[in-house]
Amino acid sequence: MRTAGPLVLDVALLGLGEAVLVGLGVVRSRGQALRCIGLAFIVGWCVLGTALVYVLILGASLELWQPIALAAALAAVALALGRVIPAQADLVERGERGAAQVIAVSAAAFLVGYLALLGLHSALTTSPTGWDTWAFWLPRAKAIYFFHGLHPQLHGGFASFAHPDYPPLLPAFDATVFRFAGAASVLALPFQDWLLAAAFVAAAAVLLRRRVRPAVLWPALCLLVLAPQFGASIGEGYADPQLARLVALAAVCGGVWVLERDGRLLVLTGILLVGASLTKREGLGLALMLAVALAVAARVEGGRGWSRALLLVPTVIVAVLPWQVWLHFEHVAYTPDYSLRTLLHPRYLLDRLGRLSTALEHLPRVALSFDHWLLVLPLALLLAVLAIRARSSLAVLVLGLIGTGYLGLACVYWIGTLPVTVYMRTSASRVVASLVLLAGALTPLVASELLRKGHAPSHPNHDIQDGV
Amino acid sequence: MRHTPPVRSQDSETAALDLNVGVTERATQTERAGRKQTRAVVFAAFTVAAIATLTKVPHLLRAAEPERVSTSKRALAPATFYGLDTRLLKSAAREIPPGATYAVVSGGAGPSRFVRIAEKTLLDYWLLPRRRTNLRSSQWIVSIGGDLQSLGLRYTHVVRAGDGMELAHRLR
Repeated sequence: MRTAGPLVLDVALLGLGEAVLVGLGVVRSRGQALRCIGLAFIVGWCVLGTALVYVLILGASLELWQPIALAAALAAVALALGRVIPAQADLVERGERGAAQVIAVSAAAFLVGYLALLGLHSALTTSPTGWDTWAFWLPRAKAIYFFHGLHPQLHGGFASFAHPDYPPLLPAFDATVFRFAGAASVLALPFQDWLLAAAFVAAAAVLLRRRVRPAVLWPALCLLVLAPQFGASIGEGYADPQLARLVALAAVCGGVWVLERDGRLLVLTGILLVGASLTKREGLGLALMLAVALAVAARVEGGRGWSRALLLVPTVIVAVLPWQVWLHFEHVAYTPDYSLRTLLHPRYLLDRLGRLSTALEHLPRVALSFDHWLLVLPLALLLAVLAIRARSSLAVLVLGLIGTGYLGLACVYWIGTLPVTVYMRTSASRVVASLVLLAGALTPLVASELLRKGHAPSHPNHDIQDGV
Repeated sequence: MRHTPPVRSQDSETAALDLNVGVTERATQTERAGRKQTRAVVFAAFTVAAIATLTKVPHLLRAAEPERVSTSKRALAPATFYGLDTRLLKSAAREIPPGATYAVVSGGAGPSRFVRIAEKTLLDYWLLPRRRTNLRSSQWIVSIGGDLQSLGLRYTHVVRAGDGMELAHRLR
C-alpha cells in the first residue's frame, strides 16, 4: 500500500488532467492523450490540488474518499464541457531529416535517460533534507493527515509551525499522498516530486512542439534539464521547485498564446497560475507579473484579444482570496517575512537601501551561477535581445519577465524583516529558480522564431478543427 | 543610403511599383543577410551552451547515481544532514506514545544554540502525531541541555537520550 497507494493517486491525477484537456478540446484522440500525458499530470495536480485547498478551508478532513470523489466530479464536469468546446488544431512543427534528426533524437534520448536516472535516484536515495521542508512544509502535511484537516486552533497542529500563512496546496497534496500510502510515508514524496518534474519536461515539449522544430526543441530542453539545480531540487521537499515549474510552464503556454491567440492556451495558463498562487506566497506575485507581461507581449505582437491576458489578474486574486479570508477569520497568528505595505513608507525604505544594493548585486550572481544553472539564463537573455527586431513580442515577454522578476525579488529582500545576508543565503538560490526556469523554458520558442526563414506565421483563431 | 534607380516605365503608377520593387528587393536582401547572421549567432550560442553543459555531465551523472539507502537512514537524513544527534529522535519516538503531548525545555548545557534550535524544530516534525504544547499541559518533557529538576515537576520515569538530552514522563 505504501508504494502502490500513491501510484493510484497519480493515476487519478492523470485521469483528471486528461479529462480537463478533453474538456478544453486539446485532447480528442488516444494519440493526443498519450502525447499530452505530462501536461495532463500537471494540470490534474493543479486542479485537484486547488480543489483540495478549498475543501480543507471548508473543514474537510481529507479522508481517502474525498480526493477520489473530487477528482471524479471534476473530471465529469470537464468531460461534459468537452461536448460543447470544439477541438484544438493539433499543430506540429515539421519533422527532421539527416543531421538535424540525429541531433533531435540524440538529445531526446539523453534527456529521457537522464530523467529516468533522476527518477531512480529520487525513489531509492533522496531524502527531504531541506530546513524549511521539515521545519514547516512536511509538518503541515503530517498535521493535515494525522489531525484530519487544518484545525488551526489545535495546539501543535497545522498552524503551529513557521509560516502558517503560506498557501497550503503542497501540504494538502503531500497529506493526500500519505492518505493513499496509508501512513505518513515521507519517503514516498521525492518520487512524487520527480513525477512532477518529468511531467513538466513532457508538458513543455508537447506545448512547444506546435511551433518549435525537434532539432531545436530537444537540445534546448536538454540544456535546461541538465542544469545541476534542476536535478538537485527534485525531492528536497521545498515548494519552490514546483512553483518554478508551474510558472515556467504557464509562461510557455502564455508565450504560445501570444503567437496563436488560442483561448484554450490562456485557460491552461490560468490553471497553472492558480496552482502556482496556491503553492507559495511568491506565486501570486509571479502570476500577476506573467499576466501583465503576456498582455503587453500580445499587444506588441498585434492582433485582437491581447487584453484577455489581463483576465488572469482577477482569476489568480480570486483564487487565493478564500485562503486569506480563512487566515483572517480563524485568527491565525503569523509574522510575515515581509509586508508589501512597507513599500509605501519612504523612510523605512531609505533606512534599508543597503539591503537593496546587496540584493541587486547578489541575485544575478546566483541566477548566473554556472554551478547552479550553467548557461541557461545567459542563453535566454542573448536570444531575447536578438529577438527584439525579429519577434519583439517574445523579446518583451522574456526580458520583461526577467527584469520585473529580478526587481520584484530585490524589493522583497529590501523590505524583508530577516537579516539580509541570512535571508539571501537561505533562499536566493531557490527563489531565482522561477526566473531561470521560466527563461530556459521560453528559450526553444524564441530560438525557433529566430531560426525561421521569414517572419513566423501566427495562427490567430485557428482553433476549430474537429476530429484531430 | 543609395537606392537602385527605378526602371523607367510608361506610366507613373508602374514607375511607382518599380521603385517599390527596387527598395523591397534591397530590403529583402538586407533582411536575408540579417537573418542569416542571427541564425549563425543562435547556432553559435547553442553550441557554446551545449559544450559548457557537456563539461558538467560527468558530475551530473555521479550526483544522480541511484544508491539503495535503507529506509531508516533516509528517514533520519534531515538530522544527519545537519550533524544532529539522532538518538534523541529515536528515543523520543520510542518512548512517547502517539497522541501524547510534550514540551521542550532547553538550556546552556549540551549542544550549541543552533543545534538546540535545529533539534527542537526537527522534533516537532519527527514526533507528529505527538503534539508539542506548553509545559503546563504536556504529558512529557523533552530536555535538550535543560535541567529537569529545576522545573519543579514530578516524573514517573526519566530516559537519557544522549549527551545532555533527556525525556521525562510527568506524574499527574
